[in-house]
Amino acid sequence: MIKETVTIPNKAGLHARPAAALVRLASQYNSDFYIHLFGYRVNGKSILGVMTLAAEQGAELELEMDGPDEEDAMEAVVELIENGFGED
Amino acid sequence: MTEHSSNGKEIIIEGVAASNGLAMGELCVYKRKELIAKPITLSDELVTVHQRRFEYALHTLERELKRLAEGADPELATILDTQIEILHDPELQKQINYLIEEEHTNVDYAIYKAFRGYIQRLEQSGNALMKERIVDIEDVRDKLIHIIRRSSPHTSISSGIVVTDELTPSEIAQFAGHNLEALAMDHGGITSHTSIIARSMGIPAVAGLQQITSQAHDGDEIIIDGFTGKCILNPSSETRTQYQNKIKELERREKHLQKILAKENVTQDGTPFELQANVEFEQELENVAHYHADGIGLLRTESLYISRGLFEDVETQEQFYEHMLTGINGPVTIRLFDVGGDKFFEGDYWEANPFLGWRGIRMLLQSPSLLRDQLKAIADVAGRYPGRVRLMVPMVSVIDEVRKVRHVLREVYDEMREEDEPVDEQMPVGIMVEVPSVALQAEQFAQEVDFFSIGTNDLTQYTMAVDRGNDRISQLFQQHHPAVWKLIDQTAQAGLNAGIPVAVCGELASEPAAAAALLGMGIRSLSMAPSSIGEVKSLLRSRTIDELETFANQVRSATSSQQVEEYFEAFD
Repeated sequence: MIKETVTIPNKAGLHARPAAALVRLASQYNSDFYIHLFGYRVNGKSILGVMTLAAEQGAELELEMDGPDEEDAMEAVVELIENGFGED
Repeated sequence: MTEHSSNGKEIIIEGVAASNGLAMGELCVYKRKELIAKPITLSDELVTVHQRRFEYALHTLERELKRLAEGADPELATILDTQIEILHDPELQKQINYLIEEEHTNVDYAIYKAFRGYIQRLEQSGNALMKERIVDIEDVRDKLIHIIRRSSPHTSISSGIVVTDELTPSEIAQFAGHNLEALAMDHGGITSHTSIIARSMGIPAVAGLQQITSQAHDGDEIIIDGFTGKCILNPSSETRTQYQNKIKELERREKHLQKILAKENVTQDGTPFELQANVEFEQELENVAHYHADGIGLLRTESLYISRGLFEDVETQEQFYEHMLTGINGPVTIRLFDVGGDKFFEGDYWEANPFLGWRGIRMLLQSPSLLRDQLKAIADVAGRYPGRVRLMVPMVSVIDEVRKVRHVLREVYDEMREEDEPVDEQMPVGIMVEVPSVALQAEQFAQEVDFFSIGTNDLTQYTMAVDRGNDRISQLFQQHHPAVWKLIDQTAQAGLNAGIPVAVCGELASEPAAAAALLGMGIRSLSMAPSSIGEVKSLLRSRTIDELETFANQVRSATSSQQVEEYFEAFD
């Protein structure tokens, strides 16, 4: 199990489009994926869970990966988030 | 004429202008049938039945959403995609199955209850963008329940002018197929998904009217003014005449433009020019043909970006480029990945100034496999469609960058020849002129590139030293500034002298008067959002090249943006 902290860079925060991108990416890996924010812990493969986090720009998320491909999964997810999910 | 049994008094309601356009006629009020789910305790035998019904509903709805998403407006497709992701949500499925299996709840109530938790949390989140998604989530919930109950939601409209509280994406999709003409909504604003989709579809819309559903009745006359955000119920005869004239004028303009679009791109005295389209997504191809663009003057490729350092593989890229080529006639100018600036966050390498930073060709030259993959994909497609592809390098600032790209391209060609793959040796390699150093050294660059394409947006930012996204200083982002014109002029003359084509692909090209000045300076190729082509074409066709050159001289003599704008106004 590994953990890493990231900050949301996009102006619009973790809204529907990036949430969908995140969930889709995370679901490609076997490892379990959880996101911690403000004391909440949600399943990172659940789009509704991620959306209800309503994480805004600057929010610090703690990412948790647990499984056989956790290293790869974490790297991919961290890159996606730190690059603002490819958004403007 | 219908008798108005309503009080007949003209009522003006102010809302938010959500999508341009005008509509006048009889309205219909659309109210979604409210779904009520009541909890029932299931007997043991029924538990499996309800679980299976849930599985069936998930699969059926996914199929339906996928079908609706096919060929749908890109904005709508994005929302439908999110809805499909909701159907895949593991936690949601877990909860609903738990409710059915462990608590013996009937499936429709289980769905209702599971969704309720998420909806409540979103309502409390205080984040406007998130709240707008609630409609999409409720839509998924309701559609699942309808499938389970084998009932059909009320999705028919009796008139093209619809008054409603708000619409779900699937409703818009369905109404669009039934001649939806205009929308007036109680809720929403400019950024709500309905407004975005309405704009994308070109349907006039007004949002945030708050009470219009309680004031309007089926069959009432209404005027929807998507330009000002006004709705007028039961308009007086004066108002109706006023708007009839406005609508006639709009239609005349539209017809006029449509006629013009079908004509040749020549000035009044027969000097030819090119009007091309700036494109990013395949869904835009229809527009390119509709507006008679001569080709794609700027194909942005950033949509192929997945995450840092990761772009789609060569095969996927090739498919994308090929779709563009087969989707239109004419040449396609492909711009290499210009990721960076406002589109890119370099993770642990945070840039204080992304616009002046590691982007475009700078990033590509340091990511050799990325550059090579993209060049290979482009060269492959160019080889199969010889004469149609042009390569454009973004963010060049020194001549060495051009030489390096050509070097890698030659290597790619050598490999291809070894594999007996067709190579388009004549594929032009040009550059975006956006960095002032290039414009100032245009003569040197003109010797080593096959064409220039002036990116006026970034050129303006760099020349005026302004980040256009910075509200405090955005008034200094002056595309019409004489300094910018000087650089454009210099670039154009250098290109002409060297005998290479010079195009403009920035926003400036889409302004008719500016386009006239650009042509007057010797530029013969403009690329813009397809919807701008009509007005530009109309103006350029109506003047001789001499008039345009005289106008360009006038613009050259201006000493401020304001003066330039005065000249524009006088010319148009």
